[in-house]
Amino acid sequence: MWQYQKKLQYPVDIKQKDLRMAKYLVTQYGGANGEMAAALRYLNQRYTMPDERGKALLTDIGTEELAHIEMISTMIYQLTKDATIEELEAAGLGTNYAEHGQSLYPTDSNGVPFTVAYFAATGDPLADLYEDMAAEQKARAVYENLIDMTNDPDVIGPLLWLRQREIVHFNRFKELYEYYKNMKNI
Amino acid sequence: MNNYNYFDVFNETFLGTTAQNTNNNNNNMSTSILYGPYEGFIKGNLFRNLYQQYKNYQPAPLTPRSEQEEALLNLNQIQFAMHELNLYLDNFPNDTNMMNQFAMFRNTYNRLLSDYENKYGAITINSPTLNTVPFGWVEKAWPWDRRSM
Repeated sequence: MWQYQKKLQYPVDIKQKDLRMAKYLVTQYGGANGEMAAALRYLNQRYTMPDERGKALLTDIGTEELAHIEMISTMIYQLTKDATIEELEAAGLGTNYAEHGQSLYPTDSNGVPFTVAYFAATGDPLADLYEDMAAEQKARAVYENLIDMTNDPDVIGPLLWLRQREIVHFNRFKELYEYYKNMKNI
Repeated sequence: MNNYNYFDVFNETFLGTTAQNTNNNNNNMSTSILYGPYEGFIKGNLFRNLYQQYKNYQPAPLTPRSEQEEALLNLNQIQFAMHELNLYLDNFPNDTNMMNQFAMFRNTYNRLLSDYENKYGAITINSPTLNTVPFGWVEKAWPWDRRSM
């Protein structure tokens, strides 16, 4: 089971409304390489990991990704808070308002809704872990693209931090991959 | 800068504690492998060998504006250090040195969590502070509201 902690893993405090950036950033919420895809990918794959190490690592990283969904959601919420309909339309978010009002909704930057087709599960731990390593690298690259597109230090700080987490997770998955690769009878 | 100096306070605390609990060799090893809790937290990475800077960007320094934010930053950085060692120990469950570090962070985390909740309200639903009406869980700000960490 899970227990909520009423705080963010890393602080988010965005003072400046920026609808353009929110429109790009939403992909790390509901896009192919976003945090929702990551959380569901690992938490779904963990059942068929061959031993307790894999079950532990996928559970613990999957759980951390849930905290990252909350950080990204918080960033989008703060970037769009109190926006008028005119401002939303001017930023290309009129269609989002028509469908969802002021709500958050997990899509990519093009407005394509989240789908579980973004991740795989093969039942093969090596194949699954290789996908996980690729997913972390792709998410890192997207964070770098996003950092390149803003000058707001309140946005850059959490993006740099989340990017670094992708690097740590990639390395942990790689260690587990190498461990399983050298194991017999998995 | 202000007078909240986490890096020094926490490194002093932890290096002091480490020196008492482990031998010198372990102490040297742990301090060379790991960043201090504050530095690791702002970097998003406790492990020196895994850190990769992006272009010329430096991690954002976290500067609390109140005693509550100071207490939360202390809690968050220790929880982060504990989580980093958690992920490491998933892969290397027989690493005694890291297990000792983990236990040290966990002890500090439990103390800081209790101190924070006693002063500023519940972070977890099993907090002993949730014993009076109105129900404190719904009274305090939610994490996505601005200026809450």
